[in-house]
Amino acid sequence: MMVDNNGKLLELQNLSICLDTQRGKVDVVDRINFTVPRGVSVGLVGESGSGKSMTALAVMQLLPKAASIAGGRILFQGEDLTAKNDDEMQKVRGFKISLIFQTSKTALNPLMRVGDQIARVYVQRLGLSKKDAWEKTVELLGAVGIAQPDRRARSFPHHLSGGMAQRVMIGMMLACNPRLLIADEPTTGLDVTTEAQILDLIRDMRAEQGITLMLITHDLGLVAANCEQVGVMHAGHIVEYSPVRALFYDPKHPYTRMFLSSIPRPDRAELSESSMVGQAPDPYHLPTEGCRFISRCPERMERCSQPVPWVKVDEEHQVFCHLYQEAA
Amino acid sequence: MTEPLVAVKDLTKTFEAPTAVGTSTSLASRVGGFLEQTNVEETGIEEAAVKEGVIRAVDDLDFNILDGEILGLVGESGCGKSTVARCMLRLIEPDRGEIRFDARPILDLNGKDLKAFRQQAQMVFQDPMASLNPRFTVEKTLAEPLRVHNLPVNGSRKKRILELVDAVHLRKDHLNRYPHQLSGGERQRTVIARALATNPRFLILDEPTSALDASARVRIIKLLLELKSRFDMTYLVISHDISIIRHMCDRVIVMYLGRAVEVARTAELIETPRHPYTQALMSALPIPDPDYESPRIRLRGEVMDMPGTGSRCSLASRCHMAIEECSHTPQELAQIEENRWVACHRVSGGQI
Repeated sequence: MMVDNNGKLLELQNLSICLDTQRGKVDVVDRINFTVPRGVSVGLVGESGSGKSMTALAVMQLLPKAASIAGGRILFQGEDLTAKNDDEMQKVRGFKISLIFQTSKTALNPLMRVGDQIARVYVQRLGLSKKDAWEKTVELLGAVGIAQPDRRARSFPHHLSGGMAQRVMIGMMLACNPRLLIADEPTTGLDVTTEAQILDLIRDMRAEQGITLMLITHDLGLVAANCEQVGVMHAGHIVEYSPVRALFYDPKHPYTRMFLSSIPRPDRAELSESSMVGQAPDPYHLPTEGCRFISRCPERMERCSQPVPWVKVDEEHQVFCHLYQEAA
Repeated sequence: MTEPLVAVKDLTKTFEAPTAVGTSTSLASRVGGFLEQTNVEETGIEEAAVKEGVIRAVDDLDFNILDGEILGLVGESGCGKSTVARCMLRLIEPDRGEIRFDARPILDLNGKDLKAFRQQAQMVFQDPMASLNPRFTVEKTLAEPLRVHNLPVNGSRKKRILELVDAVHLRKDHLNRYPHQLSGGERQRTVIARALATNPRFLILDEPTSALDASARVRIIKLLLELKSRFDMTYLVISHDISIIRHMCDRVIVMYLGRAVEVARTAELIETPRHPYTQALMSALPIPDPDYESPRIRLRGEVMDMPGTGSRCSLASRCHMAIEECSHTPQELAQIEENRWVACHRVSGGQI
């Protein structure tokens, strides 16, 4: 897909997120730069605790109380979301950016029929009458592939299977016709056949409504099939950003390589020998300036404790690593 | 040929169905028992249940596990995998069928004999956080099975606990920690160590890695393989994650709605699936390769139908290969080649 240079829908500039815990402050996201071009589906991958979900929550300004944006800007269609107050953000959430979570069943209100939950979006946000809203809701549930939508609309969340609940969430998201969909592990916990159906649905909706997708996941299989560009996160840093093919066939960052080779694959019989070395670094004892992968990196050098450069491998492929820097 | 360590015959387990859709809130916990929360696809079962009045979670299942083998049991949530496991360890009682362990029938064991059986057959439950007592430290968790079975026969219990911790590559300083102070991988190691405590010959692993990240998953798979050969165990691995199955299992049973639909050697099953359901399952796998062209086979709708009631194929209404005949032809597991059984009359009849 062609991307014009100014077509940045979402741009994170030097974004830092600080988590204030009993054990001290942690930069769970540290000065990351990340762009989601309009119309392109972008993946954000990494292990749990790498800061992926925090980044998503920061975009929505829905960070938990203990976390705050410590610096940087979040530009959406050119406007800085960090400068917006809650009322202004309410006009962004849902209308322009939607977030769907991993645990769709807990994200739904257990005491309300699912149809009422979606209809409420139409009533409160689009000002429809209750009757029209209900009709639109049933139509929408049908559109996201739920059989007998008029009956399902009257179900409570606990009546739904995980796949159906995720369809409902996607339906609710579509009600406001947003520009950007952030899907945070949208299929974790679902069976593979259901997972494939949900991703088909997201793909169809993107094509029909021109929604840009940011997919957050630790599953490289999903990234390979659904994303055009990918950012790899490790311990609060984005360590590599590249077109999807380059990431799989020509990964540059030692972490990316290790991550790729460490996953168990259904299409390969052998387990790689080089499974992930050691544990993710202790978030309370991260190096302040240098590379955060240093303790696990097979290629570490002296200068790795110095500030890490962003190196352009080519126009679209960047890596956050000393290895590729021309000797100064 | 080696005698099977475990032989399961005609295993059937039904659950009482809820009376109406609206009142079945506790269905998942009823099906799952008290031991853990399962991801039962409630909807499908409910709708079926309304029609039939009873849920056939496991329906006439036959299989053997050879001594030293790793057998995989795959299928979507709600297909009855965990129910099979629970029946095998007598955590719930099957309606009928026969289970032999080391040639001894185990379904009428009780008292001392049952306890002795359970010492030999242990289980690692799906969600380690849910199956660990939040008020027990790792040490107390590991001491529990030793206390119950009055082990070790000679030697100190503390020494045995240290052996266990060492076997699963935890450190001594983990002993004083509570479950919430452990990482996902460490919790999984703890429940594995607990299952090993009684020195079992047979281990059931129910989704042993579903709570873990990709990289931690590999470490647990490697650990389990290492432990198996070190302690000479036989495994039943239950998972819906085909990559786990691929790396661990010798043979695989694919289940759909309580029945076995295909049994084959692992590589053959994954590379050349024969049953239409297995084909759909394999085609939906996310392969980490952007150049991979998925031969996607889509099953229609969701799991809606009743497990095969004997007169028809339970997949018929969703199957991409179904013909009229499928809805009134019984589904029987038939051998189609060496080491491969398929429950599809079109496959065994040579039509597809």
